[in-house]
Amino acid sequence: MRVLILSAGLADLRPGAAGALVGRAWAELGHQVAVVPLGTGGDALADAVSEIPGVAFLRPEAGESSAALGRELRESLASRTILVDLTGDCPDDAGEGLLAEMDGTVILPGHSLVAVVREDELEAPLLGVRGVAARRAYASGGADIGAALAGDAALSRLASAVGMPDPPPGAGAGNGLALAVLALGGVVRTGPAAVGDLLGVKATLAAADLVVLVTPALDFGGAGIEELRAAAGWAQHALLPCIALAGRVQISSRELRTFGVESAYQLAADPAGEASRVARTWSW
Amino acid sequence: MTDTVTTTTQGVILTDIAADKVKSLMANEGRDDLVLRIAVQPGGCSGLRYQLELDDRSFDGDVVSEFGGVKVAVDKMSAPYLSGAQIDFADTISQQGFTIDNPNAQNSCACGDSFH
Repeated sequence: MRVLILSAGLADLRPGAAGALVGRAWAELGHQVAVVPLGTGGDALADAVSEIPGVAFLRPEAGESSAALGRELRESLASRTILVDLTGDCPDDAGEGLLAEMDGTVILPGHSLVAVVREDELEAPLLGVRGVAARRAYASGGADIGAALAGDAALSRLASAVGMPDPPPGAGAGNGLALAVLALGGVVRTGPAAVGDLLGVKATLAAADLVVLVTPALDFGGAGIEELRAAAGWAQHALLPCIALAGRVQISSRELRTFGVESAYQLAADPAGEASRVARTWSW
Repeated sequence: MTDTVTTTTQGVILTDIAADKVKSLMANEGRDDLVLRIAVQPGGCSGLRYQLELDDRSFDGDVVSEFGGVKVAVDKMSAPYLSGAQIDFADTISQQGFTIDNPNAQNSCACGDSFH
């Protein structure tokens, strides 16, 4: 039996260590185990990609300009893959400063640039009522339509200037910073999808019999849900059963089934022992 | 601030009752130079919500319609979401205030304030 462990961490354990702990439970039963670290963004994603060779991980800081990120990007161009984490607070200039710093420098052939965004921003529009300027203008509750229109017009001019007069869905992610990544020939992905592409998860899935998600928490409030959706989606695509092991489980079986997950088990007092008991149940 | 303003008899529709109410509100403010601006903004439980206000500004790309002497302005971002929308005014025991019947709304919240 071959088990694919997708690990976003567990309690104090980083994704790789948590995956190894859970993976040992199946390995001790004589099964083959592959561990893929997962992260949706932030420190978890940085941890997940930290041991993958040839990957640069960049994270912008909130503020007016993305110029500093542009300088970091220019210095990272030798990396095979550059991940730009846009899941946190992002600068307000929609990548104008970044593009100015790049000054026509392009991503090397065979290399890739990936904007990592929150799942709910994967198709975020840059322009219009649901676009960056409107969201920003109305976020404070001030509802200043003049500010929304002026901001939208400025973003429209920037998009045209970078050769994307009709920016695709996702260009509005990360406060519009995804536009700059797309303009440089990059792509927009969620954290799990980006890691999955890097590590060739789809090929591993094709050889697996069971998918196990390991995550710090699963609850109806959203914790672990993006990871759960990614794991279950991959498992369903490969026609495999998917289970979850989490430090905290506060989600009903019915909700789990709507995601396509068979069961979720809580690993709390004795994660290694509890994982071994789950492994004996999910073993053939 | 005005660059391009389109005046049209299509787009948003203001009923006679609503137009009378708007005129009454403008009279209360002692102004006759205001337009009724209707806009769509992100927010509300269904994703988008309406904003109605009396406004003395005009913006590039505004679509302006006139009903019974009342000008109704829709900004260019909101216009695609409001084509054919009818603004009425209700004053019954169960409903008071301006109402918006928008054929573009696929769904709306029970509060009547937001739609998608």
